[in-house]
Amino acid sequence: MSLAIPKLVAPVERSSFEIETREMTKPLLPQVANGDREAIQECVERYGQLIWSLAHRLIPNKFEIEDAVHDIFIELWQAAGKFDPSKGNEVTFVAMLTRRRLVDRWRANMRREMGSVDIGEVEIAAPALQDPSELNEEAQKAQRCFEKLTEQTQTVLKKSIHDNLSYSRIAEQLKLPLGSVKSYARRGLIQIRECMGRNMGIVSLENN
Amino acid sequence: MNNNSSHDSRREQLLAGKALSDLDRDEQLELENSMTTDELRKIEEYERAVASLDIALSRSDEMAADGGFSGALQNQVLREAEVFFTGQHSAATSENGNVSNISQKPTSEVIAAPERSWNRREILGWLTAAAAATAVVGNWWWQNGRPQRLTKETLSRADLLASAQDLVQAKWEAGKHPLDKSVTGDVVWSSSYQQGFMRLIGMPVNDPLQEQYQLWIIDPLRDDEPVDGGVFDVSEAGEVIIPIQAKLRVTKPTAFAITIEKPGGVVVSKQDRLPLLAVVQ
Repeated sequence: MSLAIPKLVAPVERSSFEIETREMTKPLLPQVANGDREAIQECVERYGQLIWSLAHRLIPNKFEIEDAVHDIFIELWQAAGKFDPSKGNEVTFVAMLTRRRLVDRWRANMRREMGSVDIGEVEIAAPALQDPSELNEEAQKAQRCFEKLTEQTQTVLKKSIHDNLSYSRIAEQLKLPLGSVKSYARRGLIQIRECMGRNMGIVSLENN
Repeated sequence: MNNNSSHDSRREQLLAGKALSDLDRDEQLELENSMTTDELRKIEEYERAVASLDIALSRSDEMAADGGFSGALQNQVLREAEVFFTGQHSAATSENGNVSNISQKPTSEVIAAPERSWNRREILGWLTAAAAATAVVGNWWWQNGRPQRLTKETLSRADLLASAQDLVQAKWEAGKHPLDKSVTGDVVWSSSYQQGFMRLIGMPVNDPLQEQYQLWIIDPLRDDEPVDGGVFDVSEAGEVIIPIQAKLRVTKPTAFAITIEKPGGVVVSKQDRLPLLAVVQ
Protein backbone atom coordinates (compact mmCIF):
# COMPACT_ATOMS: atom_id res chain seq x y z
CA MET A 1 0.00 0.00 0.00
CA SER A 2 1.87 3.07 -1.11
CA LEU A 3 0.45 6.56 -1.56
CA ALA A 4 2.07 9.01 -3.91
CA ILE A 5 2.60 12.14 -1.88
CA PRO A 6 3.68 15.28 -3.73
CA LYS A 7 7.01 16.80 -2.97
CA LEU A 8 6.72 19.07 0.02
CA VAL A 9 8.40 22.42 -0.05
CA ALA A 10 9.83 23.52 3.21
CA PRO A 11 8.51 26.90 4.31
CA VAL A 12 11.51 27.94 6.38
CA GLU A 13 15.16 27.08 6.03
CA ARG A 14 14.36 23.51 5.16
CA SER A 15 15.59 21.46 2.30
CA SER A 16 12.74 19.83 0.50
CA PHE A 17 12.45 16.10 0.51
CA GLU A 18 10.12 13.58 -0.83
CA ILE A 19 7.88 11.88 1.62
CA GLU A 20 6.59 8.46 0.92
CA THR A 21 4.26 6.55 3.06
CA ARG A 22 5.43 3.04 3.60
CA GLU A 23 3.32 0.16 4.43
CA MET A 24 2.23 0.54 8.02
CA THR A 25 4.91 -1.08 10.13
CA LYS A 26 3.67 -3.50 12.70
CA PRO A 27 4.06 -2.16 16.25
CA LEU A 28 6.77 -3.85 18.28
CA LEU A 29 6.09 -2.54 21.78
CA PRO A 30 3.35 -5.02 22.73
CA GLN A 31 5.81 -7.86 22.02
CA VAL A 32 8.61 -5.95 23.73
CA ALA A 33 6.45 -5.67 26.85
CA ASN A 34 6.35 -9.47 26.90
CA GLY A 35 10.13 -9.68 26.75
CA ASP A 36 10.25 -11.00 23.19
CA ARG A 37 13.91 -10.84 22.37
CA GLU A 38 13.55 -10.51 18.62
CA ALA A 39 11.12 -7.63 19.06
CA ILE A 40 13.53 -5.97 21.50
CA GLN A 41 16.35 -6.21 19.02
CA GLU A 42 14.21 -4.88 16.19
CA CYS A 43 12.99 -2.09 18.43
CA VAL A 44 16.56 -1.02 19.17
CA GLU A 45 17.42 -1.14 15.46
CA ARG A 46 14.28 0.71 14.43
CA TYR A 47 14.31 3.52 16.98
CA GLY A 48 17.95 3.81 18.08
CA GLN A 49 18.85 6.41 15.50
CA LEU A 50 15.70 8.43 16.14
CA ILE A 51 16.39 8.55 19.88
CA TRP A 52 20.04 9.32 19.35
CA SER A 53 19.23 12.14 16.92
CA LEU A 54 16.68 13.76 19.19
CA ALA A 55 19.13 13.52 22.09
CA HIS A 56 21.86 15.12 20.01
CA ARG A 57 19.76 18.26 19.66
CA LEU A 58 19.62 18.94 23.38
CA ILE A 59 22.88 17.43 24.55
CA PRO A 60 26.16 18.58 23.05
CA ASN A 61 28.37 16.02 24.78
CA LYS A 62 28.64 12.59 23.15
CA PHE A 63 29.13 10.76 26.45
CA GLU A 64 25.97 12.32 27.84
CA ILE A 65 24.05 11.59 24.65
CA GLU A 66 24.90 7.93 25.01
CA ASP A 67 23.94 8.03 28.67
CA ALA A 68 20.61 9.60 27.72
CA VAL A 69 20.04 6.95 25.06
CA HIS A 70 20.53 4.23 27.68
CA ASP A 71 18.07 5.97 30.02
CA ILE A 72 15.49 6.40 27.30
CA PHE A 73 15.61 2.77 26.24
CA ILE A 74 15.18 1.63 29.84
CA GLU A 75 12.18 3.93 30.08
CA LEU A 76 10.89 2.55 26.82
CA TRP A 77 11.11 -1.00 28.17
CA GLN A 78 9.21 0.13 31.25
CA ALA A 79 6.56 1.96 29.23
CA ALA A 80 6.20 -0.57 26.41
CA GLY A 81 3.06 -2.08 27.92
CA LYS A 82 1.38 1.32 28.00
CA PHE A 83 1.56 1.88 24.26
CA ASP A 84 -1.94 2.08 22.82
CA PRO A 85 -2.01 1.79 19.01
CA SER A 86 -5.49 3.34 18.93
CA LYS A 87 -4.04 6.66 20.14
CA GLY A 88 -1.40 6.98 17.49
CA ASN A 89 1.52 5.21 15.96
CA GLU A 90 4.53 3.77 17.65
CA VAL A 91 7.25 6.08 16.35
CA THR A 92 5.38 9.10 17.71
CA PHE A 93 5.03 7.35 21.06
CA VAL A 94 8.79 6.73 21.12
CA ALA A 95 9.57 10.31 20.07
CA MET A 96 7.19 11.70 22.70
CA LEU A 97 8.71 9.62 25.46
CA THR A 98 12.18 10.60 24.27
CA ARG A 99 11.39 14.31 24.30
CA ARG A 100 9.94 14.08 27.81
CA ARG A 101 13.02 12.37 29.15
CA LEU A 102 15.36 14.78 27.34
CA VAL A 103 13.58 17.85 28.63
CA ASP A 104 13.69 16.44 32.19
CA ARG A 105 17.36 15.75 31.80
CA TRP A 106 18.10 19.14 30.29
CA ARG A 107 16.26 20.86 33.13
CA ALA A 108 18.12 18.86 35.75
CA ASN A 109 21.41 19.89 34.15
CA MET A 110 20.38 23.52 34.05
CA ARG A 111 19.24 23.45 37.67
CA ARG A 112 22.57 22.01 38.65
CA GLU A 113 24.54 24.48 36.61
CA MET A 114 22.68 27.73 37.15
CA GLY A 115 19.85 27.13 39.57
CA SER A 116 17.11 28.13 37.12
CA VAL A 117 15.32 26.75 34.10
CA ASP A 118 14.90 28.26 30.68
CA ILE A 119 14.41 25.54 28.13
CA GLY A 120 16.42 25.84 25.00
CA GLU A 121 18.95 28.45 26.02
CA VAL A 122 21.71 26.69 24.15
CA GLU A 123 21.70 26.61 20.40
CA ILE A 124 22.86 23.28 19.10
CA ALA A 125 23.32 22.02 15.59
CA ALA A 126 20.47 19.68 14.91
CA PRO A 127 21.06 16.30 13.38
CA ALA A 128 18.04 14.22 12.72
CA LEU A 129 16.47 11.20 11.16
CA GLN A 130 18.53 8.96 9.02
CA ASP A 131 15.86 8.35 6.46
CA PRO A 132 13.08 10.88 6.01
CA SER A 133 11.23 8.45 3.77
CA GLU A 134 10.38 6.68 6.99
CA LEU A 135 8.25 9.57 8.11
CA ASN A 136 5.17 8.12 9.63
CA GLU A 137 1.61 9.04 8.88
CA GLU A 138 1.29 11.21 11.97
CA ALA A 139 4.43 13.17 11.08
CA GLN A 140 3.11 13.73 7.57
CA LYS A 141 -0.13 14.94 8.99
CA ALA A 142 1.74 17.25 11.34
CA GLN A 143 3.71 18.62 8.43
CA ARG A 144 0.60 19.33 6.38
CA CYS A 145 -0.97 21.09 9.33
CA PHE A 146 2.23 23.00 9.97
CA GLU A 147 2.24 24.30 6.41
CA LYS A 148 -1.19 25.79 6.89
CA LEU A 149 0.10 28.11 9.58
CA THR A 150 1.34 31.62 8.83
CA GLU A 151 4.99 31.91 7.98
CA GLN A 152 5.67 33.73 11.24
CA THR A 153 4.07 30.99 13.30
CA GLN A 154 5.92 28.31 11.35
CA THR A 155 9.21 30.06 11.96
CA VAL A 156 8.60 30.41 15.69
CA LEU A 157 7.48 26.80 16.09
CA LYS A 158 10.38 25.45 14.09
CA LYS A 159 12.90 27.45 16.07
CA SER A 160 11.29 26.36 19.33
CA ILE A 161 10.57 22.67 18.68
CA HIS A 162 13.23 21.71 16.19
CA ASP A 163 16.08 24.11 16.88
CA ASN A 164 15.47 24.18 20.65
CA LEU A 165 15.93 27.94 20.87
CA SER A 166 14.58 29.79 23.89
CA TYR A 167 11.77 32.25 23.33
CA SER A 168 14.09 35.11 24.24
CA ARG A 169 16.54 34.03 21.56
CA ILE A 170 13.74 33.67 19.02
CA ALA A 171 12.40 37.11 19.95
CA GLU A 172 15.86 38.54 19.46
CA GLN A 173 16.33 36.87 16.08
CA LEU A 174 12.89 37.76 14.74
CA LYS A 175 12.76 41.18 16.41
CA LEU A 176 9.47 40.36 18.07
CA PRO A 177 8.26 41.02 21.63
CA LEU A 178 8.82 38.01 23.90
CA GLY A 179 5.09 37.73 24.63
CA SER A 180 4.29 37.54 20.93
CA VAL A 181 6.76 34.68 20.43
CA LYS A 182 5.16 32.72 23.25
CA SER A 183 1.74 33.42 21.86
CA TYR A 184 2.72 32.39 18.31
CA ALA A 185 4.17 29.12 19.59
CA ARG A 186 1.23 28.17 21.75
CA ARG A 187 -1.43 29.19 19.27
CA GLY A 188 0.41 27.43 16.50
CA LEU A 189 0.53 24.21 18.48
CA ILE A 190 -3.13 24.51 19.44
CA GLN A 191 -3.99 24.83 15.76
CA ILE A 192 -1.79 21.92 14.77
CA ARG A 193 -3.38 19.65 17.35
CA GLU A 194 -6.84 20.59 16.15
CA CYS A 195 -5.83 20.11 12.54
CA MET A 196 -4.29 16.72 13.24
CA GLY A 197 -7.50 15.68 14.92
CA ARG A 198 -9.41 16.45 11.75
CA ASN A 199 -9.22 14.51 8.56
CA MET A 200 -5.70 15.22 7.34
CA GLY A 201 -6.00 18.95 8.00
CA ILE A 202 -8.28 19.93 5.18
CA VAL A 203 -9.52 23.06 6.87
CA SER A 204 -7.43 26.17 6.57
CA LEU A 205 -6.28 27.19 9.97
CA GLU A 206 -4.97 30.64 9.96
CA ASN A 207 -7.12 33.69 10.31
CA ASN A 208 -4.52 36.17 11.34
CA MET B 1 -15.33 32.13 15.34
CA ASN B 2 -16.45 30.09 18.31
CA ASN B 3 -13.95 27.35 17.62
CA ASN B 4 -11.05 29.74 17.41
CA SER B 5 -12.07 31.61 20.51
CA SER B 6 -12.28 28.35 22.47
CA HIS B 7 -8.85 27.32 21.18
CA ASP B 8 -7.45 30.57 22.39
CA SER B 9 -8.83 30.08 25.84
CA ARG B 10 -6.51 30.38 28.77
CA ARG B 11 -6.65 26.69 29.62
CA GLU B 12 -5.83 25.67 26.09
CA GLN B 13 -2.86 28.05 26.08
CA LEU B 14 -1.61 26.51 29.29
CA LEU B 15 -1.98 22.98 27.96
CA ALA B 16 -0.06 23.88 24.82
CA GLY B 17 2.52 25.65 26.96
CA LYS B 18 2.92 22.53 29.05
CA ALA B 19 3.67 20.45 25.95
CA LEU B 20 6.11 23.10 24.76
CA SER B 21 7.76 23.17 28.22
CA ASP B 22 7.37 26.94 28.35
CA LEU B 23 5.21 27.40 31.47
CA ASP B 24 6.59 29.67 34.14
CA ARG B 25 6.13 28.79 37.79
CA ASP B 26 2.82 30.67 38.17
CA GLU B 27 1.37 29.16 35.02
CA GLN B 28 2.44 25.71 36.13
CA LEU B 29 0.60 26.15 39.43
CA GLU B 30 -2.44 27.60 37.66
CA LEU B 31 -2.59 24.60 35.36
CA GLU B 32 -2.06 21.99 38.04
CA ASN B 33 -4.57 23.52 40.45
CA SER B 34 -7.58 22.37 38.52
CA MET B 35 -6.29 19.78 36.11
CA THR B 36 -8.98 17.46 34.76
CA THR B 37 -8.61 13.96 33.31
CA ASP B 38 -9.63 15.35 29.95
CA GLU B 39 -6.85 17.92 30.15
CA LEU B 40 -4.31 15.23 30.96
CA ARG B 41 -5.38 13.45 27.80
CA LYS B 42 -5.10 16.72 25.87
CA ILE B 43 -1.56 17.31 27.14
CA GLU B 44 -0.60 13.95 25.73
CA GLU B 45 -2.18 14.90 22.41
CA TYR B 46 -0.20 18.13 22.40
CA GLU B 47 2.96 16.22 23.20
CA ARG B 48 2.24 13.86 20.34
CA ALA B 49 1.76 16.83 18.03
CA VAL B 50 5.10 18.29 19.13
CA ALA B 51 6.85 14.93 18.66
CA SER B 52 5.26 14.43 15.23
CA LEU B 53 6.25 17.90 14.14
CA ASP B 54 9.78 17.37 15.40
CA ILE B 55 10.04 14.24 13.28
CA ALA B 56 8.54 16.01 10.26
CA LEU B 57 10.95 18.93 10.53
CA SER B 58 13.99 16.70 10.66
CA ARG B 59 16.14 16.54 7.58
CA SER B 60 18.11 13.79 6.02
CA ASP B 61 21.16 16.03 5.70
CA GLU B 62 21.21 16.63 9.42
CA MET B 63 22.79 13.32 10.20
CA ALA B 64 25.26 13.57 13.01
CA ALA B 65 28.89 13.70 12.03
CA ASP B 66 30.15 11.91 15.12
CA GLY B 67 28.83 8.45 14.56
CA GLY B 68 25.21 8.52 15.61
CA PHE B 69 23.71 5.37 17.05
CA SER B 70 26.76 3.17 16.72
CA GLY B 71 26.98 -0.60 16.79
CA ALA B 72 28.79 -0.53 20.14
CA LEU B 73 26.04 1.56 21.70
CA GLN B 74 23.41 -0.69 20.18
CA ASN B 75 25.07 -3.73 21.72
CA GLN B 76 25.20 -2.06 25.14
CA VAL B 77 21.52 -1.16 24.91
CA LEU B 78 20.70 -4.76 23.99
CA ARG B 79 22.74 -6.09 26.92
CA GLU B 80 20.90 -3.77 29.29
CA ALA B 81 17.59 -4.82 27.79
CA GLU B 82 18.45 -8.42 28.47
CA VAL B 83 19.32 -7.67 32.10
CA PHE B 84 16.18 -5.55 32.44
CA PHE B 85 13.81 -8.21 31.15
CA THR B 86 15.61 -11.00 32.96
CA GLY B 87 15.38 -9.00 36.19
CA GLN B 88 11.72 -8.30 35.55
CA HIS B 89 11.13 -12.00 35.03
CA SER B 90 12.99 -12.87 38.25
CA ALA B 91 11.08 -10.22 40.22
CA ALA B 92 7.74 -11.49 39.02
CA THR B 93 8.71 -15.06 39.83
CA SER B 94 10.12 -14.39 43.30
CA GLU B 95 7.23 -12.15 44.26
CA ASN B 96 4.36 -14.40 43.23
CA GLY B 97 5.90 -17.79 43.30
CA ASN B 98 5.04 -18.04 39.66
CA VAL B 99 5.49 -15.98 36.54
CA SER B 100 3.36 -12.88 36.15
CA ASN B 101 1.48 -11.85 33.02
CA ILE B 102 4.21 -9.55 31.82
CA SER B 103 6.63 -12.38 31.29
CA GLN B 104 4.55 -15.47 30.89
CA LYS B 105 6.97 -16.92 28.42
CA PRO B 106 9.51 -19.21 30.04
CA THR B 107 12.95 -17.64 30.33
CA SER B 108 14.37 -19.94 27.71
CA GLU B 109 11.85 -18.62 25.24
CA VAL B 110 12.30 -15.01 26.22
CA ILE B 111 16.02 -15.17 25.62
CA ALA B 112 15.89 -17.68 22.81
CA ALA B 113 18.06 -16.56 19.97
CA PRO B 114 16.26 -15.34 16.88
CA GLU B 115 17.35 -17.00 13.68
CA ARG B 116 18.66 -13.92 12.03
CA SER B 117 21.74 -11.80 12.76
CA TRP B 118 22.95 -13.59 15.89
CA ASN B 119 25.88 -15.91 15.54
CA ARG B 120 26.59 -18.76 17.90
CA ARG B 121 29.30 -16.91 19.80
CA GLU B 122 27.02 -13.96 20.44
CA ILE B 123 24.26 -16.25 21.62
CA LEU B 124 26.58 -18.09 23.99
CA GLY B 125 27.93 -14.81 25.31
CA TRP B 126 24.41 -13.51 25.72
CA LEU B 127 23.20 -16.59 27.55
CA THR B 128 26.23 -16.66 29.82
CA ALA B 129 25.88 -12.99 30.70
CA ALA B 130 22.13 -13.34 31.15
CA ALA B 131 22.48 -16.34 33.44
CA ALA B 132 25.13 -14.59 35.52
CA ALA B 133 23.09 -11.40 35.60
CA THR B 134 20.04 -13.37 36.70
CA ALA B 135 22.05 -14.83 39.55
CA VAL B 136 23.38 -11.42 40.55
CA VAL B 137 19.98 -9.73 40.36
CA GLY B 138 18.30 -12.67 42.07
CA ASN B 139 20.86 -12.70 44.85
CA TRP B 140 20.50 -8.98 45.27
CA TRP B 141 16.73 -9.37 45.55
CA TRP B 142 17.16 -12.17 48.04
CA GLN B 143 19.43 -10.07 50.23
CA ASN B 144 17.64 -6.77 50.01
CA GLY B 145 14.02 -7.60 49.34
CA ARG B 146 12.23 -6.00 46.45
CA PRO B 147 14.12 -2.89 45.36
CA GLN B 148 12.42 0.49 45.34
CA ARG B 149 13.10 0.80 41.63
CA LEU B 150 15.28 -0.82 39.04
CA THR B 151 17.48 1.90 37.60
CA LYS B 152 19.77 1.90 34.63
CA GLU B 153 22.73 2.10 37.02
CA THR B 154 21.52 -0.96 38.93
CA LEU B 155 21.27 -2.90 35.71
CA SER B 156 24.61 -1.69 34.39
CA ARG B 157 26.27 -2.61 37.68
CA ALA B 158 24.72 -6.07 37.60
CA ASP B 159 25.89 -6.43 34.02
CA LEU B 160 29.44 -5.44 34.99
CA LEU B 161 29.46 -7.85 37.95
CA ALA B 162 28.30 -10.60 35.65
CA SER B 163 30.75 -9.99 32.84
CA ALA B 164 34.00 -8.42 34.14
CA GLN B 165 36.82 -10.90 34.77
CA ASP B 166 39.08 -8.38 36.53
CA LEU B 167 36.57 -6.90 38.92
CA VAL B 168 37.87 -5.28 42.10
CA GLN B 169 35.48 -4.64 44.93
CA ALA B 170 35.98 -2.70 48.16
CA LYS B 171 33.70 -1.74 51.01
CA TRP B 172 33.22 1.84 52.12
CA GLU B 173 34.64 2.71 55.52
CA ALA B 174 34.83 5.94 57.45
CA GLY B 175 37.58 8.23 56.14
CA LYS B 176 39.54 11.02 57.81
CA HIS B 177 36.40 13.05 58.46
CA PRO B 178 33.53 10.63 59.10
CA LEU B 179 29.92 11.63 58.49
CA ASP B 180 27.46 11.89 61.37
CA LYS B 181 25.73 8.69 60.38
CA SER B 182 27.40 5.59 59.12
CA VAL B 183 27.41 4.95 55.40
CA THR B 184 27.80 1.47 53.97
CA GLY B 185 28.05 0.00 50.50
CA ASP B 186 30.88 -0.75 48.15
CA VAL B 187 32.70 0.25 45.04
CA VAL B 188 33.32 -2.02 42.06
CA TRP B 189 35.74 -1.36 39.23
CA SER B 190 36.89 -3.17 36.10
CA SER B 191 40.06 -1.85 34.48
CA SER B 192 39.48 -3.82 31.31
CA TYR B 193 36.05 -2.20 30.87
CA GLN B 194 37.22 1.09 32.44
CA GLN B 195 33.89 1.07 34.18
CA GLY B 196 32.80 1.00 37.79
CA PHE B 197 30.05 1.93 40.23
CA MET B 198 29.73 3.21 43.76
CA ARG B 199 26.94 1.74 45.85
CA LEU B 200 26.18 3.97 48.80
CA ILE B 201 23.63 3.24 51.50
CA GLY B 202 22.70 6.06 53.84
CA MET B 203 24.78 8.74 52.14
CA PRO B 204 23.45 12.20 53.07
CA VAL B 205 21.58 14.07 50.34
CA ASN B 206 23.63 17.08 49.23
CA ASP B 207 22.60 20.47 47.90
CA PRO B 208 24.44 20.73 44.56
CA LEU B 209 24.42 24.50 44.77
CA GLN B 210 26.35 24.39 48.05
CA GLU B 211 28.64 21.38 47.73
CA GLN B 212 29.14 18.18 45.78
CA TYR B 213 30.75 14.83 46.33
CA GLN B 214 33.84 13.92 44.33
CA LEU B 215 35.41 10.51 43.88
CA TRP B 216 39.16 9.97 43.72
CA ILE B 217 40.81 6.77 42.50
CA ILE B 218 44.18 5.92 43.97
CA ASP B 219 46.21 4.10 41.35
CA PRO B 220 49.93 4.10 42.32
CA LEU B 221 50.96 2.11 39.26
CA ARG B 222 49.70 4.91 37.12
CA ASP B 223 50.59 8.03 39.06
CA ASP B 224 51.24 9.42 42.52
CA GLU B 225 48.29 11.76 42.09
CA PRO B 226 44.81 10.23 42.44
CA VAL B 227 42.60 10.12 39.36
CA ASP B 228 39.46 12.26 39.40
CA GLY B 229 36.55 9.79 39.43
CA GLY B 230 33.86 12.39 38.83
CA VAL B 231 31.67 14.81 40.73
CA PHE B 232 28.31 13.48 41.84
CA ASP B 233 25.22 14.26 43.87
CA VAL B 234 23.06 12.16 46.12
CA SER B 235 19.47 13.20 45.66
CA GLU B 236 17.60 10.48 47.52
CA ALA B 237 17.83 8.60 50.78
CA GLY B 238 18.53 4.87 50.97
CA GLU B 239 20.65 3.06 48.44
CA VAL B 240 22.04 4.88 45.44
CA ILE B 241 24.27 3.60 42.68
CA ILE B 242 26.55 6.12 41.02
CA PRO B 243 28.61 5.36 37.90
CA ILE B 244 32.29 6.21 38.16
CA GLN B 245 33.49 8.69 35.58
CA ALA B 246 37.25 8.36 35.63
CA LYS B 247 38.86 11.27 33.83
CA LEU B 248 41.99 9.26 33.06
CA ARG B 249 42.67 5.63 32.33
CA VAL B 250 42.87 3.59 35.53
CA THR B 251 45.20 0.58 35.61
CA LYS B 252 45.19 -1.02 39.07
CA PRO B 253 43.29 0.90 41.73
CA THR B 254 44.26 0.28 45.34
CA ALA B 255 41.74 2.58 47.02
CA PHE B 256 38.86 4.94 46.37
CA ALA B 257 38.12 8.09 48.35
CA ILE B 258 35.16 10.44 48.43
CA THR B 259 35.67 14.09 49.30
CA ILE B 260 33.19 16.92 49.70
CA GLU B 261 34.04 19.84 47.46
CA LYS B 262 32.60 23.08 46.14
CA PRO B 263 30.02 22.81 43.30
CA GLY B 264 31.67 21.53 40.16
CA GLY B 265 34.44 19.80 42.06
CA VAL B 266 38.15 20.60 42.11
CA VAL B 267 41.22 19.63 40.12
CA VAL B 268 43.31 19.01 43.22
CA SER B 269 41.58 18.25 46.50
CA LYS B 270 42.85 19.73 49.76
CA GLN B 271 41.15 16.79 51.44
CA ASP B 272 39.58 19.06 54.03
CA ARG B 273 36.61 16.73 54.12
CA LEU B 274 37.19 13.11 53.26
CA PRO B 275 34.28 11.15 54.74
CA LEU B 276 34.61 7.82 52.97
CA LEU B 277 37.39 5.52 51.91
CA ALA B 278 37.34 2.10 50.28
CA VAL B 279 40.57 0.11 50.31
CA VAL B 280 41.01 -2.76 47.89
CA GLN B 281 42.14 -5.82 49.86
